[in-house]
Amino acid sequence: MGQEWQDKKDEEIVKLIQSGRVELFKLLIKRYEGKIGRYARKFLYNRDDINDVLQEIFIKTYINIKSFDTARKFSPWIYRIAHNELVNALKKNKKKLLPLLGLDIFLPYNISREDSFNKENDLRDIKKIINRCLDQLEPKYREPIVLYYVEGQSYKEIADIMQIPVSTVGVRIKRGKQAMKDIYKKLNK
Amino acid sequence: MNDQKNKKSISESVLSKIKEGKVKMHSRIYFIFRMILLVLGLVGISAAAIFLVSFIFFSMRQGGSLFLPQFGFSGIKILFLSLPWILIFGAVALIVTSEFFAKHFSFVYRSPILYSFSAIALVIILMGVILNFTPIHMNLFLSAQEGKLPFAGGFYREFGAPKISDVFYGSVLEIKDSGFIISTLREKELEVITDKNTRILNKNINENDNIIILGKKNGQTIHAFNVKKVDEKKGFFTPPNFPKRQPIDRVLK
Repeated sequence: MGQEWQDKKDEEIVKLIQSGRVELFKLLIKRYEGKIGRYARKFLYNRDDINDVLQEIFIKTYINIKSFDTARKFSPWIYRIAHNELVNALKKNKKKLLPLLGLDIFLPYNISREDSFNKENDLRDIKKIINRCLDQLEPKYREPIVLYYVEGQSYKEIADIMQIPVSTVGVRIKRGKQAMKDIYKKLNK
Repeated sequence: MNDQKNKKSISESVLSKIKEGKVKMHSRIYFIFRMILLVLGLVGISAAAIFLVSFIFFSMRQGGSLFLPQFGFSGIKILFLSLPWILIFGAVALIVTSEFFAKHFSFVYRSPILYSFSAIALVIILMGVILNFTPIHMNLFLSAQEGKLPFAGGFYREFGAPKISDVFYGSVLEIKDSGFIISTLREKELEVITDKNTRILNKNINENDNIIILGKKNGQTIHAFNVKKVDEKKGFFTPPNFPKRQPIDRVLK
């Protein structure tokens, strides 16, 4: 694939795939293999499991690609497929499940608006502790933290990926960040 | 090096499956059809919930329990005990199922369940109240009594005119010195005995008035503790032109 394709947006490529340019799907795999692989590795630790899940995610993406609305952003859509496949894989492996329900999706929360300046500040502090503490964080908090700080998704996009209220995303990120700081403090004692 | 090899194998494996035709894209029609099914499911379940909610109001009015709060605290207590819990649980289950269907839409899952569930429940209850203003349930109830309603006939006969112990709701046929003769949906004639201990909450009870009685039944006689005239037309949950309490065979004539 030439340079011309590198500059195309995901949504433009998907539009072409939907209209029959199937060979362009390779570009999407190339763009998302690393990102989705990194996301999957935060929940699965066996290389074969990760590869199986990755394959399944891209197959599902291809099968369902015509349901994607190209007026919307592509990355939350593919992360939604990845989220579902991870939930299935964890269920299959009988590992600690990603919680689908929790009290925090029932109740409203007052969460301050997403702030990109705060996110930048947070990133400097939190990146160094994410790598050390993430494994010990409850999956319920781990997923939004990864999607927000590592994968760069917004609150609204995370709400679409996990299909939970936007305020719940905010509260999980806030609590998850605090829990990670506590873990980090304990580790450094 | 290994990662590079893996990346290549995942990409190649997926692409070769696509090339070999082992993996095929679903057509747009497939997704449109799925969306139609989802919307139909949501509309169907919500419509069933609305129908059931309106039927609960109808059933409570038929049995007279909707008018019990007019007797004060003791009436409210009987109302609570006589609520059609099976129907209420059925309606709640349908509302929960509606929420489950609606959760597929982003404007629903982005809100806390407390909000989305309350909004769905409110809309269904409001629509149920509106449907309750139509004569649909009375017509179906009468058809069921005539045996002309094969599908839901049993349901209407079972729940359409519930019997509440010690509560009698009927139309005055005759006024006597000892009380009244009334007819109810279940019985053609019942004698209501009133005495000095009976609380009659309206003094101007006339023939053809609908009255509700709290009392003990012995054979075809009711010893009344409380009597209250009911003006169904003034009731918020009552449809206009709601028929008088008469036994079913009279209504059918």
